[in-house]
This record gives sequence, C-alpha cells and structure tokens, in this order.
Amino acid sequence: MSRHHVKVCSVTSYSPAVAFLFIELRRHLSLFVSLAGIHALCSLFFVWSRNPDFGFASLLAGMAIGIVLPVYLFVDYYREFVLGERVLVHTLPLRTSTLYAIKSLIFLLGNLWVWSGGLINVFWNPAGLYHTRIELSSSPALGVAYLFISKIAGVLCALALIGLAIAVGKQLRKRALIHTMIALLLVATIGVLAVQIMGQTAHWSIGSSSMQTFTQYAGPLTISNVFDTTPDDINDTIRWNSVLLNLGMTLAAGLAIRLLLQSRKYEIYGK
Amino acid sequence: MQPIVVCENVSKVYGKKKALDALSFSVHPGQIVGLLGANGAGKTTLMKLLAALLRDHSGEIRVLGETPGLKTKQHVAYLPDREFLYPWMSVADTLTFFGRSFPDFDLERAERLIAELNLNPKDKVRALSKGMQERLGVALTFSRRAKLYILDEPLAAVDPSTRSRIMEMILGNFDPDSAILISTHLVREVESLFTHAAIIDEGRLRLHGSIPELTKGSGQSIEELFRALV
Repeated sequence: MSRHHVKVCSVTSYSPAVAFLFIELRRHLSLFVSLAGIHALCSLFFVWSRNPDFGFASLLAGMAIGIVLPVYLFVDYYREFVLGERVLVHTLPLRTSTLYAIKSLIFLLGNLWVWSGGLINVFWNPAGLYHTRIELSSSPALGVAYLFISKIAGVLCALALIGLAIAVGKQLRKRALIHTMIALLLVATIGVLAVQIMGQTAHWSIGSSSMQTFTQYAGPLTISNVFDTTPDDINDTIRWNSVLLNLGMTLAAGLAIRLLLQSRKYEIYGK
Repeated sequence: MQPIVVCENVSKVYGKKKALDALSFSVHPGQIVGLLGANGAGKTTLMKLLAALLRDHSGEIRVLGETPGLKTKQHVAYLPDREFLYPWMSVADTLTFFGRSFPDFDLERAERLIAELNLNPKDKVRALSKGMQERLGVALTFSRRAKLYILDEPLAAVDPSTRSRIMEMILGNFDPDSAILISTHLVREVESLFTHAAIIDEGRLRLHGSIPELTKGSGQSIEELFRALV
C-alpha cells in the first residue's frame, strides 16, 4: 500500500449543483474580495480626506472597477458557454441553463459585494449621499430601499443580457458571426433600456453617480439624470419604471436563455 | 442483453463538412471497443454526441435506451482529449468534487487508485506531470461505476511506460456490465486492450466487429486492417 493511502476526503452528499456552486465561488472569490477591498478603500478616502488628488484617484479607481468587472464577467461567461474551455463542467449531470443560473448567482453576489464597498462613502461620509440627501428626504427608508433594489435589478439585468447575447450568438456556427451577434445584441438591448431611462429627462450622464439624483441602471450601464436645479427631495428622482424595465428584461431574457441553452442548435463543442 | 449504445444512420455536419456520415453500430455490455481512425475521421464527434456534448445530428442515438442528455450523463463517464481538471485544485479536492458531482462515484475505489498511482492527495493538479495528470484523469473516470466509459485518446500524449500503466488500470477496473469506447490512432500499441474494433474513415464506419471475427476472417492484424482501410 502506498505511503499516501489515507482517507483523502469525505463526500457527504451527491449534489452536482452545490459542487458547481462551490467551484464557482472559489474561482471568483479572490477577485471579488480584491475589488471590494479597493472600492472600500476608495470610499474611505472620501470619508477621511478632502485631498483632491486622493479624490480624483479614488474616482478613477471606481471607474476602473466599473469597467473591469463587467468585462471579467463577460469573458468568463464567454469561455464557459461559447468556447466550453472546461469540459468537465459540461459533463456534469446538470442542464446548461442550470450551470448558467448557478454562475449568475455567484456573479450577482460578487457584483453586490464589490458595490457594497462603495456604500461606506454613501452612509458614513457626512458629506455623502445618505446624510446630505436621503436622510433629509420625505422617506429615508424608501430612498435606501430604492438604492438597493435598483442596483440589484440592474445587475440581474446585466447578467441576463450577457447570457442572452451569448445564447443567441452560439446558435450560429462561424466565430465571426457569433461575435457580431453578441456585440449587436448587447448594444441593442442596453441601448433600448438606456433610451427608455434617459427619455425621462433632457440631460443625463453615463457611467457616473450624482448627489442630485438616484443613479439609474440600464443593465450594466449606470446613468445619472442631471437637472438645472437640484430637486429638493431626492425621492422625487426615484424611477420605479426603470427598475421594472430591468426586471422585465431579466425575466424575458432568462426565459429565452433557458430555451436557447436547451435547444439542439446550442452545442458547446461545435467546430 | 440490452445494448448500451445504439447508433442508427447517424450523420453530423459542421457547415459544409460532413463529420459523420450515416453511421450505424452498437456497443453491448462487456465490450471494450477501440474506435480507430485518422485525425479528423469523426471519432471525437461521435464520442461527444454519445456524451451529450453535441446535440444537433440526424439519425438516432440511444445510450442505455435514452437520447443522450441529462439522464444519460449520470451513467456516462467521459474523458476528453484535453486537460479537463481544475489545475488549482488539489488531488483530494478533485475527488471531493467528483464525489459530489456524480451519483456513481466510488470514493473508496478512487482513493485506492490514487494510492496506486502514488499521488499525494495534497498535490495541486497543476503540479503533476502531463503523464500523471493523464493517469489521474483515467483514475477519476474509472472511479465512477458508470455504464459507459468514453475515453478520447487517453494514450496519445504519454510515454510507453505510462501507457502500459493506464492500460492496466483500465483492464483492472473494468466492470463486465459496462462498456468502454476508446478512441486512438495508436493501433498497434493498444490493440491488445480491445474486445471489439470500429474503424472510421471520413465519417463513415468502414469496419466493425469483435477482434477474433475481424482478424480471423481477414488473416490480418487490426493494425494491418486499419492501414489497409484508412
């Protein structure tokens, strides 16, 4: 008998979904923790420092995270569901749509975890959004609820739109067509959402947050409406219809993803 | 006895290229079938169809009486022709992952096999040599009490000594209620492993039968038959 013949591990129960969930958690945890840490540090600068250089660097870091994170998520979905790089995953006795849902759950939690790093500035900074605007609004509880719900809806929608673009693109054979379809679908769906949200005011900015209004989300895109004069009550800038748009798009895209990933045309290892 | 695999008139195209062309054959329990063919002959395509990784084809495929899919994945152990384990996992983590993922995974058998390979459970997969990773892959595959084992070129990238040990592992853990499908183009080196052979060329099945039938009927070895046909 070998010197290594010991009880290697214990397996408590058979559950491929839980096994895949843990794998995904381990794969992405370090990145999510790192980005959340950077985001939290950036937030802390705003709480303790008025140094404009720190402020600028923190804003840049925040913007970089806003770009890096969606790109990372997209690349991971692409490698798993277009290239099928990890064959083992697709031999598990799970539907492809279940694999997608599990990965998306981890990505949702990871996104929210990274985003939560920025809440230090929102809630702890005396000059932050909560103390200067939400606390003084007609209903602080409603404002805080909207802050969270709109973000969750935006992230859900972003993950669903990426999945939809990949599932539709993968119905095609040629790599160039797949890429074109994915790009077109992402631009079109996010564009439609953005136009719907921007249409409510004449002025807006993309990729930034504002002390005037609540941030709106078109899937992965953040949008701030800009007013000539700051609204007295920030709750007047709550737009539940943008949340409903995101959730509606998530639902529709989710159903389409389920159908497409189960279809005969969807083949991980098609040449 | 019910066949484990039945393919009837199976064709598969990639764009304009026909990867499989009206292929029909069956695999029964107790058979170790060598799927022989040159590169691009269609071996991997056929294996991926049986493993439910490819779906869009014409003709009929049955694995244990079912269309390949979620149900059959529980009874089919597939070893692909490329690295498929997570390199950052330890050997022990990999066993745990397989144990949680597949209902037929036999942990005791897995522990015995990795001990035979003299693998340290704490070693990361990425720290193992290419040959060791190959052997770990075979050990994990045969730690499942599957009904069908599909091994895609498991012996292509290993040295002769590793090849012998892998072949011993395959034969030593073969359950006669199951069947094994092994693709290879190293015919001479591994033909002693097979009870049956199927030779594929350009997507068409050129020859299929038991080794005694094929060799006695023609008076040629499997390698000679292979060279004559491909």
